[in-house]
Parts: sequence; structure tokens; C-alpha cells
Amino acid sequence: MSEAAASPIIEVVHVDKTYSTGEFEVRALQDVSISISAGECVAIMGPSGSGKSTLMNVIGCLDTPTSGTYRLCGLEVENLSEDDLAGIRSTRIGFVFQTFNLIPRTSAIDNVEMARLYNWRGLANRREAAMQCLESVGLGDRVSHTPSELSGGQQQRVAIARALVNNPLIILADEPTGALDSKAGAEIMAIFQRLNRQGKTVLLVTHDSDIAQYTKRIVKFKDGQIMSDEPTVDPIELD
Amino acid sequence: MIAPERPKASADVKPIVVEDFRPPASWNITAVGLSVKIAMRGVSSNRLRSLLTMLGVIIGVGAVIVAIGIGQGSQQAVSASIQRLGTNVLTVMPGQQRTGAVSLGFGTRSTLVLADSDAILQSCPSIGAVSPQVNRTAQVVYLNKNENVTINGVGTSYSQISNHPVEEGRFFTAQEAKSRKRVCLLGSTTATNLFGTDSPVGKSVRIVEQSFLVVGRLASKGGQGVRNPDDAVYVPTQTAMYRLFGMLFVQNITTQATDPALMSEAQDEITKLLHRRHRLAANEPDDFMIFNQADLANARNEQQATFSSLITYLAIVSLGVGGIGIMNIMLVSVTERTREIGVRKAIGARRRDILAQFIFEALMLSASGGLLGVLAGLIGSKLVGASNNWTVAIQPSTVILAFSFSVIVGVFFGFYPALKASKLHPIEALHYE
Ligand SMILES: Nc1ncnc2c1ncn2[C@@H]1O[C@H](COP(=O)(O)OP(=O)(O)OP(=O)(O)O)[C@@H](O)[C@H]1O
Ligand SMILES: [Mg+2]
Repeated sequence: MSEAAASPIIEVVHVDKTYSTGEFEVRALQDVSISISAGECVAIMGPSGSGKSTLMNVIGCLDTPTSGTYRLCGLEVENLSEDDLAGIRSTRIGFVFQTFNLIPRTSAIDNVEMARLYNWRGLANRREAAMQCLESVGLGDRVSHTPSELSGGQQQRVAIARALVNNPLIILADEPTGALDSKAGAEIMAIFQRLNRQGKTVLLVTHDSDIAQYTKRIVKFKDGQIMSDEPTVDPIELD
Repeated sequence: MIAPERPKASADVKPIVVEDFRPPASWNITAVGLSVKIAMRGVSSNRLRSLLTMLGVIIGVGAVIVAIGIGQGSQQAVSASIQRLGTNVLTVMPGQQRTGAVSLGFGTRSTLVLADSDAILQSCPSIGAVSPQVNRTAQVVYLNKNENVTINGVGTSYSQISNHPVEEGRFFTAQEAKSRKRVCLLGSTTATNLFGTDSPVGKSVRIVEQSFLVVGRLASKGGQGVRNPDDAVYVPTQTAMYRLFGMLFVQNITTQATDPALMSEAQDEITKLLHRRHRLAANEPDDFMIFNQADLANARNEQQATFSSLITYLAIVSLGVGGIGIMNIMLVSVTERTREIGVRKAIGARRRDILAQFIFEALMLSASGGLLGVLAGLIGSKLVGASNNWTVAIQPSTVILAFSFSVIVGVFFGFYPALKASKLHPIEALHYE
């Protein structure tokens, strides 16, 4: 543990996140602390409304905590401007969403390439990079298909290619298999495992314990708090 | 809680430095270029709606071109006719004759005499030159050639007042005019008709069975209708009145003020002088009329100018309506594409990237509308000009101006929706249904 703690890529320390809608106050995260090292593959589980997505948003620099500290690669991000956070997202983090969130009427390769247009170091060779990423998720023959011409599993693979195109350190996936059947889900998990072997830190939210079985560490949430944080028992390695 | 056993880090974590996520200033220019690319994809995916949205801008820009084209055309026509008529010119005509209640029109009564012309030149300080004039149609004969032309009796200042210079030879002198010499100048068309390419100067022609010496040939003035000044012969007024046609009255006195600013003074002076000379009582109406040639030309083109300003209003209204149309469609587009905006922000688009994207989308709508509008304006002004027989003058600067209106409309009305889009919170945008 000591060597891993020496180089945590994600450090969440005593973080609170409170949403106030009118009279109600929802404490979506209550004094959450978690540390994730580079190269880990972590599943976050827990009932609906327990704060999983909220934590992912904080880790993904889409949202800032109400209190507490969040360090990404040693950098405290909570006081950065919105544009700086956007810059960090584009260069360090790849997002994969449950509903794929591809841009409609736009080809797979344009969808992937788009992510490079917001990365100021990513302009050169962006087409080739997009092509490579699509090939790496097995869609080299579908590059000019628009989202409506692709199956759910294929769309999610385009989304993964888009998350990869800026060569991020971390892949954040909020229920990436939630909209897919188990076969397509396993295919997606195989990709995540391969990426993890290549050194990417993978963090995913899932309700499905079978999916969690493909990771190395499982963090369980309840009511905005971490209930347990343990290595996966009998993890399954796909190829 | 049991401390979990963690896998060894596969790579050292490199700290994030500011340069990693904060692009250099030069990036902003590149980013704008990229926004154009992104916006182009956005617009081209919805063509019919784009075209409908552009309609207001198309009409607006087209109307700007028609309005300016016709407005400038009318100005050109006015200045061309003033140029033709001579500058600072006031024309004195005999007053209208009335038989009972029926007006027979100006110039139907004979009230002006040669002495009036001399008096105007002598006693009106604002008048610099006069030309008493008569005209009749008659035959001019040279050898076996025979032409029916206008014989203009004019004063020695005619050439100067009416902007009709001598091209060859000379004008007749005051002495020749006074002694009613049979000398003449030929208009360019008449000269060609009678003499071909030969010089007429020094030759003799016959007018009303009398022999006239040709002393000069006038430059071409550009033909206009029945009284074509090029198809005419010019003789001294005195010669025309007393030797050719036996007239006692002049048909008009063309006068030139010394300065354009003195036109109304000149008119007053002539009015007072002639009133006195014609022995009219103080309450008696004038038996003559004074026309300002520039006013006449302006009046003739007033209709055209009115039309032009009407079209200007149409242009303003259409551009406004077109702009609101674009704003409306952009607001709809921003709402429809809230999730897309969320995704773009999640993967790293900054506020200004989104702002630029939507402004450029609006701009592309309005600028395409502008291009179509330019086309419509060019065709429209041709049609309007042709059907009304108006001069239409479209300069490149007009086209550029009209087009830039469309650009301004796009940026102005596209700004608010784009700002709205850029301010969306990424998570809220992602969760929008
Ligand atoms: N924008 C918001 N405004 C107000 N409350 C919010 C907002 N986002 C989340 N919440 C609340 O915060 C709590 C945690 O939400 P979160 O989305 O993190 O849950 P989750 O664990 O991801 O649930 P699920 O499994 O259903 O996705 C919930 O009670 C939710 O209602
Ligand atoms: Mg969630």
C-alpha cells in the first residue's frame, strides 16, 4: 500500500457535495475520501441515488466539491476556472457515458476526431489518431457510419475511441454497459481491461456485479458514503 | 475496514503543469478556425430549415441592393441631365396664354424680346451669361445632300451655358450676331450627315434658300429624342429671327448664374427686372416663367428616389425580421442540442469554443442568406430598372455593404443564443432530456 500511496493519480480527501434545490438540501457526498493509483481498474457500486455519479463528476472535473480537497495527479483542482477544468478534461480524462452521447448525423470518425479539436496539443495527425482509436476498438470498417447506423455496442465503442483519442491517463465510465446486453457489455469490458493493461487507470460505475467482476477493486456506496472498498474476489480476466 | 491490497502503479504519475491545460494565446485564433469547421457541420445537417431561416436576410440584403442601386441610379440620372443642360442654368420662358379658363401651356405666348435678354445680362448682378434662343425646323442643303434639322438661334454664350463645346473651327462672334451675319455651326450628327468625314468648316450650306458660311462644328452631346442637339444647326439668334424666320419674340432666354449658390437671388433679380420691363402692375401675374433646370431634373427623378427610400424601409424591416428569425432558430437549435453541448464541454470544449461555434452557425446562416440576397438584389434591380426605364447603378461597394449587413445581423442576433449555449453547465446539459 505504501508504494501505491506514493503515486496516487486520484486523491479525494474529505469531500462533501451538497445540492440545494429550493428548500431541500441533498448531501450527495458526505465526507468521502478515496485514493486511486495509476493503473488501477476500479468499479463503483451502490444503490440508485447513493452518489456514484456525483463522485465521478468530481473526479472527472465536471463538478467541484462543496468542501474537501480533490487532487488529480497532485494538482488541486477545486479552485481552477471552468476553462482550466475543460483543459484538464480534454488532456487527462476520457469520458464514456451510459447513453453513448455521440453527436447525431455525424460520422464515427468525425465524432472521435472532434475530441482532438478541443485539445490544443492534439491538432496534428488528428484524423490518423481518430482512425487508430477506432481500429483499436474494432471499428476500422465503420468509420463513416453515423450513430443511427450503428448498434448500441458499436456506438459505445465509438464513444470509447473518442475517450481515447487524446491519450488520457484516466477513463471514467458511468454505467458504460447499462444500455447494452451482457454480450456487448462483456465486449466493452474486454476493451477496458486491455486499456488497463496498457496502463490506463479505469474507473467505472455499475449496478451489475457481473460487470464489477471484471475489475480489480470494488468500492461500494450508500447514502453518499463509502461502505466498503475491497479488491475484487476472483476477478475475471478477458482477453 | 480492511485496507485493500492495491496493484502496483504501472507508470509514475507525472504532475499536471499549467501549460498542459491552459493553451497559449495563439491557440485562440486556431480555435476560431476550428469553430468555423464545427459550425459548418452543424448548419449543413439541416438544409431546408436553414433556407427558410435565411429568407428574411435574403429579402433584406436584396432590398438593400435594389434600394441603393436605384437611389444612386436616380442621382446619376439627375447629375447627367444637369450636366447635359449646363450648370447654374435658369431658363426664362414666356408665360402661359389663357383663353378663358383653358391653359395653353408655357411658351404659348410671345412676351420675351431680345432686349429683355440684354437687360438681364446688364442689370442682374448674379447672372454671368445669357443666350436668347429660338428654334424652327428647316432644310439644310449641301451640294446634293439635304437634311431636315432643327435650326437653333442661340446667343454667343450658348456653348458655355449649355456645356456644348466647339470641336472644330470657332463659335460666331458678338459682332457677327449683332450684324445678323449668315454664319452657322453644325451639330456633330448634321456635320456627318452632310459632310461625311470631311471638315465642314469654311464650306457653305443653304438654309431657307440663303447661303450660310460654316464656321465651326460642335462636339457630340449625346442624342436625346426629337430635339437632338447633335442633329441641329446653330446660327445667331438675330440671324434666325430677322433673316430666316421673321420672328419678333424669342422663345426662351437661357441664363447662367455666376455661382450655384446665387440661383435664388438670380431668379429674384430676373423676376423683378422683367416685371418692371413688361410694365406689369404689382398685383398682376408674371407673363413669364423661370425654370431651374436642376430642379426640373430632380423633380423628374423624384419618383425614383421615393421608390428607393420605400425599398430602404423594406430592407430594414426584412433584415430585422430575418435577424429575429435567425435568433429564434438558433435558440431552438441550442435547446435541441443541449446534450451535444454537454458532451462537447465534457470532452474539453471551453466556453469560448461553444460561443464561437454557435455564433459561426448563425453567421453562416445569415451570410449564406446574404449571398443569395446579393443575387436576388442584382436580378431584382435589373428587373425594376428595366420595367420603369430607370437608371440603376450598382457599385461593388453597394454589394459589399449589403453583404456586410447580413454578417452584422448574423453576429448580432446569433450572439445571445450562443452566449446561452456557452454558459450551460456541463452536467446539467448532459442530463437534459
Ligand atoms: N443537479 C442536482 N441537483 C440536485 N440534486 C442532485 C443533482 N444531481 C444529483 N442529485 C442528488 O444527489 C444524489 C446522488 O445522485 P447521483 O446521481 O450521484 O446518484 P447515483 O448514485 O449516480 O444514482 P444512479 O445509480 O441512479 O445513477 C441523489 O439523491 C440525487 O437526487
Ligand atoms: Mg448515476
